[in-house]
Amino acid sequence: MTDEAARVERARRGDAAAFAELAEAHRDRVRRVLFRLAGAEALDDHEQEVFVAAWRALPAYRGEAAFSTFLLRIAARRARRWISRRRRPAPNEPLDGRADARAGPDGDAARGERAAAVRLAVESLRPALRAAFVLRYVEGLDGKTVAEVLGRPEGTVRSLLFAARRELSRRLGEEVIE
Amino acid sequence: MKADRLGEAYGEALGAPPDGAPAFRPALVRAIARDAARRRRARWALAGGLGLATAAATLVMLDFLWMTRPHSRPGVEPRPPAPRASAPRDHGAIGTAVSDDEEAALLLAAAIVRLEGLGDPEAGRERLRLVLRDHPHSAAAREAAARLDGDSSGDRR
Repeated sequence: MTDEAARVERARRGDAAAFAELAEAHRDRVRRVLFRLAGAEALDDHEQEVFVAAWRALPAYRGEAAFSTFLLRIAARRARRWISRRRRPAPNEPLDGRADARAGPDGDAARGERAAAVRLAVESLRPALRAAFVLRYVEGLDGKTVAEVLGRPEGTVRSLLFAARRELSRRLGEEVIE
Repeated sequence: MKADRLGEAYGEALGAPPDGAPAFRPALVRAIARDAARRRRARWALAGGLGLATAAATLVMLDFLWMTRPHSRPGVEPRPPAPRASAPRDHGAIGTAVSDDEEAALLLAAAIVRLEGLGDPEAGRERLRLVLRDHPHSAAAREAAARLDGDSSGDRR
């Protein structure tokens, strides 16, 4: 049994310290996915809620999927619920001061505009498309893991990714291919 | 443009998430530990409650079955097959008709008396005597009397 499997087993039996170790080990990834899916607003709250929800759901976790997948599934569900409740920016709406902060005053203006356009295009996607796109192409998960995280069949995930690419192609004015 | 290249560009444009407080703050760990303890207590309480309820129901059922079992106690005559409910029966010289419902009610009353009598046999017999006084001519009453005698003789033994 790996260290992680042993910790998961201890946590399943109610060992909060073991769960704290697991949370610390997976924290960065969960936080990054939440940030990419739902933005920086209330990020700390989302992160904490994900781990509390994971703790509560732990007795039902049977180890069919990796523990990270189990956590990401909870995170993706929470992020989708969050962005579904918020209004998405319209495709031609400015990103209210969020446009590429990294470009800086001496930065390449064209690069900054391009980055802002990419952000706007991705963040304007429907929540399901955005989640599939971020998990597959930003986080680099394979199709099977994306399907597990989203709790959908692989075929559905392929359809979501196709729809996301088509939508992004339309918004960015260039074809986005697999 | 390749989709993974676009994903990379999106990741770069977004940057790293802002720093935040640790996901598992000590207060949260304590809250979770409390939650775990509460869940354990709830599970034990549920299991204990179910166990007690099952045991009590089993005792009541066993006692009821004992009281209503076929006549295997000493001194009790086998009971004749019950006639149809629609036909009133002649019970002895006076001939009081007792319906099946009434008979069942008496048997049930006897069972209850028996139950009450578990803690205080004399009080149970007293209750049964009252039942007999109110229904002196019914077959069920006679049967209850025979049982009472059987109990008394058993006690004497």
